[in-house]
This record gives sequence, structure tokens and C-alpha cells, in this order.
Amino acid sequence: MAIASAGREGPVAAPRGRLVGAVAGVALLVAAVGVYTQMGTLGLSLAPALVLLLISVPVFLLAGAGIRRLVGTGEVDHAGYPFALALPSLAYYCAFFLIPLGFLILFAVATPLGFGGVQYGFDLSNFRSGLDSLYVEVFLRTLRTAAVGTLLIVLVGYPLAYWIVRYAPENRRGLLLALIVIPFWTSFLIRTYSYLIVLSPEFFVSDWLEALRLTDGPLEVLYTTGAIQLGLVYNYLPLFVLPLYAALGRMDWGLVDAATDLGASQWAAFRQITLRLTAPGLITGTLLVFIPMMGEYVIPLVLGGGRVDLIGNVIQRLFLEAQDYALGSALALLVMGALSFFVVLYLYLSVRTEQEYGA
Amino acid sequence: MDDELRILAPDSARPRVQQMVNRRQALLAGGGAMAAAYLAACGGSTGEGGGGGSGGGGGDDGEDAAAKPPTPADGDVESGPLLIANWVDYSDPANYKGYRSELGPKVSVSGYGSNDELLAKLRAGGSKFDIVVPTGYAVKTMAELGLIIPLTRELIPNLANLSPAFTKTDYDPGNVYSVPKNYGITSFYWLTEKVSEQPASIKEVFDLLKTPKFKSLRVNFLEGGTQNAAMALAALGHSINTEDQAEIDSAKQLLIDVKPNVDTISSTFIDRATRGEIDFGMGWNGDIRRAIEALAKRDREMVFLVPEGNTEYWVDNWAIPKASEHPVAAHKWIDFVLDPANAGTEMNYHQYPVPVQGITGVQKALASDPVINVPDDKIAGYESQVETAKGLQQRNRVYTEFKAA
Repeated sequence: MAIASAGREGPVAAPRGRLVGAVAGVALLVAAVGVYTQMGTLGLSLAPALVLLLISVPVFLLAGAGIRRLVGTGEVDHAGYPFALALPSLAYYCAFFLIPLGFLILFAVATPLGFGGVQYGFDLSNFRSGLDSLYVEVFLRTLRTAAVGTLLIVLVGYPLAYWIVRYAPENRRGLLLALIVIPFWTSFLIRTYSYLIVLSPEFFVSDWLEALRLTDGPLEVLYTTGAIQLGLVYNYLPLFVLPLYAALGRMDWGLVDAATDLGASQWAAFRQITLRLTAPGLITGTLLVFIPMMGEYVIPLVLGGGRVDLIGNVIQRLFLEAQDYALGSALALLVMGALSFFVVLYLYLSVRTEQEYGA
Repeated sequence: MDDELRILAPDSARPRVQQMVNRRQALLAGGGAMAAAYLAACGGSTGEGGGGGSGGGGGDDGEDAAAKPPTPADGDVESGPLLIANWVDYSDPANYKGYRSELGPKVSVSGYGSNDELLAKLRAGGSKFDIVVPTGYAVKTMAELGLIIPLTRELIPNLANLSPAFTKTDYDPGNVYSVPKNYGITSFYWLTEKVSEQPASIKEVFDLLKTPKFKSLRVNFLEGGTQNAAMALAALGHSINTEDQAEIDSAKQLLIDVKPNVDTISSTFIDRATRGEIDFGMGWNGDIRRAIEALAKRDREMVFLVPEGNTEYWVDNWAIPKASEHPVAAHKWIDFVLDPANAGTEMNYHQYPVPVQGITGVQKALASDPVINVPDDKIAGYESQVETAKGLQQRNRVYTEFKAA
């Protein structure tokens, strides 16, 4: 018989260890952003810069393991999966999300020098300019457009998903889902341009609508806000239908049968059972659709004729035309902050729903 | 509970247990080996990449060959491909073929829609264009930022063909960085079947745009803060280059006043205009002439206004970016298009006036068209744009407010 023992070094009390680990992690990120800022001044071409960025993945991997080792958090790994296996994806996340985010923050507090140059420093005036009534107005308009678009998607997508799960023949479900998802594999821009043709007054859709007396005269929706709404619904529908399909598919339909057996009407059964149990899926789908819509800038340009500005257009123009990276970054961070509120709301709602209904 | 793991196992299992316990160390060691490998590989490849990317020109320090202007001594035309970044539909593909058959390098073309976009692309690095086509004010900005190189005149003997007026432009006197490609004016056009009025100046155009009749007409403006602000400032009688905040605010107010009657704001409008889908719009004379010709074939009349008073005139130029890898080939391209016959081909294609003396082969109708050949006394009243960082911010702000209205 043999006894082998594996121990973790220097056990430190768990909460303090986590704090030390967190501080070390943040310090490492700040150092990385600082290094990358200086690298920008070297004027590297694309390939070496990309290679250097890719190196940061294993560097973060090692650093994460090293921090964990030194700190010895004293946590027991659950279910036999060592935490070390999560480090690669954490490292990737650090390199390709947190570092660019760090850049954004760095630009947002810098002073613009014109023509894309910035003076690094700590200058909060960009945020003040970003909160100007002009940008708030555009943001609110974007919020309205995205809200209406999300509502339309729910109205179109929920019955669609419900029908596929409940009424479509079992062997056809895969095909139907494929029909919804395959257009999604086309480039976003091409889909938007194709919609330009569909909504054109010379296309047969316009002729049919006119023949059916649904419109008097050729279709006039192109280059209006209506076209933008339609484009939003068209482009983001698959993103909504898929999580909802998953939630509806997971539900136990026997409960609905039980409810109707016990005397509930179809509508009451739907409202009290189906709707409540699939609420997390519905909320996920809604958020998955609402947040990208808030950043949308291609659809207003192509389908809206460039007449209407959403907040995405404003930020894009600040970066690409006015080359005011500081104000653009500050606006981007403000929008991200506002949207985070919705994410927090989602987390709160979904946790509550799961606790209450266990779905 | 202490942190030690005690395993009770038979002796024969000892090696396997030890392996399991050491797996964690192995994972980290593997990661470390990977990182070391990356660093080693990277160190090697950047060294090679730097040396190999020197392109044409001489051989002394490979890195700087692209930055130093080429001299006739090391001026063998590189094998290419010549990468041209141009406005969309702005050069005749026949000239690309002609260049290739005469000099050898294949020509590859990339498109952009505004000078700001071009400036952003050059600043961001990435694509190594050999030829770019900035408008006058952008030439000045790019020269100051060191994004384009001074030209080597020995490689462009045809520079002697350039019209004298265009050798002393105010954005680049002496053609140090750029060679004029063509010039044009920004103004308005309309379908006579829809618009019977005949405004004679930009001011009258804007007054017309405010009338309720225009609500039902399809009106298109160009994109870009600089364009729209320039037209509004011209309408109000101010200089299009002003930085006076009061004047800029009044221009912004004018734009907001006409916004309800503006249907689309797009610079990719030429297809629509050619099909007659735009009743009234802002545009450049060469592009609009093409639409006028196309519509005339279908018996529909469109006119372009050559205004009295002020408007914007601009000169588009050939320039060679600093990052170019085929500078000699780029110089030879400029020389090629300054040849009178090739300049004529270009002019027939984009239909803008080309300032080359002795230009040959231009269609008669084009050569005598008043829309294209703007009389000198009118040009004297026009302004060309000068761009500054402050002005750019002001105009971007005006444009954002115009769009948000």
C-alpha cells in the first residue's frame, strides 16, 4: 500500500488570497495595456503586431497559473475539474477583450490633438462632451428604435418558435431551423443590401402589395425609419428564435396538458405555464437582440438612406471621419455603461425566474 | 480541514497516482514551453519579415527603401502589383491595361468614398497603397503628417505637360507632393420635369429647398460634414473655410431648416440619379454629366447648375504614400497618365476636366460642354477647401446635428 499526497503550497486564508489574486490580475492588465500603448508608437505593420498580440495569450496563461500558485486560494476544485483548464480561455479573453477595452478607456481619458492624435493623460472632459444633449437625443432615439425593433421581433419570433416546437412535424424541425439559420451565414452587409432590393418599389413585392390593395401606389417604405425597423427585424430574427426554441423545447409540455385537463383555457394555460417557464429563454433572446441593435450603424446607412443617425453612426463617424478617438471612445464607454444596466436587469430577472419556477 | 490530499492505493498504482498528481505541473510546464516557442519563433520571423519587405528600389537598408524617394539610379520599375487606392469609378480600366502592357506591373485597385476615409486608412497602416488620390486640402494634411512622399521629378518627364495654372496650386505649390489628376465643382442638379424653377446660385438653391413643394420631391445630399457645411456656408455668403463659430452655427441652422425636405444623404447616389430616381440633389459636375447623358438617351432632361457667386471647387491629385512598396512603378503611373493620349482616355471616362496641355482624343461634346469647361471668371469666384483640425471638428459637429434633426 502506498500513500501519496499532493498538497497546495502555503495555504492563505481564502478571501485575502482572492483579493491578492485580483489585485495582481489587474496590475498585470494595466502593465499589458501600458506595454501595448508603447508598441503602438513603434509603427509595426500588421503581421508582427498580430504575432505580438497572440503571444499575450500564453503570457496571460502563465501569469494566471503563477498567480494562482503563489496565492494558493485554498479552494477545493469541484467535480474534479482543475481550475487550470479555464486559464486558456481566460487568457484569450484578456488578450482580445480586456486589452482593447483598456485601450478604449485610455483613449477616453486622453486629450484629442486633432487628426487622430491623442495626448495620454487623465482628462474627463470627453465624458462631459459625450453627455451633451445632442448625443443624449441620438441615444434616446436609438433606444426607441431598438425597443420597437425588439418588440416586433418578439411578436414575430415567438409564434414562429412556438409553432416549430409544438405543431411542426418532428422530422421537419431540423429543416425549419436550418431555413431560419442559413441566411444568417451570409454576410450581414449583403443581407442588408438584398433587403434594399426587396423593399424597392420596382420589385414584385411592391407590385403584389399594390394589387392586394394593402398600399395605394408603389411601396414607399424605403429610405424611411420604417425601412430601418424592418431591416432590424429581418437581420436579427435568427438570434432571437434560436434561444427561444431551445427554451420551448426544454419545457415539459405535459404540464400544459395537465393544466387544460384541470379546466384551464388554452390561453390561461399558455399564460400561466408556457410563458412563465420559458421566460428565461425569452429574456435571453430579447437581450441578445436588443444589445446589438443599439450599436447598429449599417442598416440606417443602407436602408434608411443615411437620413437618420443612430448612436452607432455617430461613434463610427467620430472615429473614421472626424478622427476624434477621444470623444468616440468616451461615447462608446457611455453607451456600454448604459447597456450594462440592461444586462444587470437581465441577470436579476433570470435569477429570480429560475428561483421561482425552477426552469 | 487541512489542504493535504491523502490517497490510499495499492503499491502497483503508485506510478499512476504520481502521474495524476503531477499532471497539473505538466500542464503549466507545457504552457511555458509553448510560450518559449512563440517567443523564439517570433524573434526569428520579425527579423526576416523586416528584411524581406523592402520591395523595389536599392538594396542598402531594406527598411528605408520605401521611405526614401526613389532616384533614377535605382529606378527600375518593380514587378508590382501596383496597388491604387482611388475613388470609385474614377479611372479608366483601359488605362490600367495600357499601363500593364507598356510597363509591366499588374494594377490592382481599391476604393474609398471620402478623403477622411482615406486619411484614416493611411494613418491606420495596414494596406500598402502605391498611389492614392487625395483632394487638394487632404494633400496638405497628408504632407504635414508625413503620410506621402515628395515626388522625384526625373521619373515623371511628362510633368511638363501639366497646365501652368496647376503647377502653382495653393495647397501644393510646385507639385512637390502631388500631381493634379482632374478638377471639378460641387453644386446641384435636378430633373427639369419635376423642377421648373431655375436657381442661379447656391443661395437660391437653398431658398428653393425650403419651399413646401420639395417635400414630395426626392432630394439627395452628399455625405460628409465638409461638403454639406461648405454648401451651406456658400449659400450664406461666407467663406467655406471659415472657423468663425457664429458663421458655422448659421450654416448649421440653414441645413437643419432644409432637413425636412431632404430624403437621403448618400454619396453613392450615381446609379439612382442615372435611373432618374433623384429629383434634386447635390453632386459633382463630372458624375452628374454621366447621369445627364444617360437620361438624355431616355428623353429625360437633367440639368447641372454652374453657379454664380461662391461654391466649392476642388482638385483631385495623384500622390504616393510613404508606405508604398513600388515607388518607381507609382511614379511611372503618374507619368503614364500625364501623356496626352492617356489623359484623353481618362477624361472621356470620368468626364472631369483634366489639366494636361495638348490633350488628345476627348469627345467633342465633352470638350465643349459648359458643365465641364467652367469659364475662368466663374472659377475665380469659387473657393477650394483648406482643412484644419479645428475646422474638421466643427464641421463634424454640424453634420451630426444636421443628421440628428
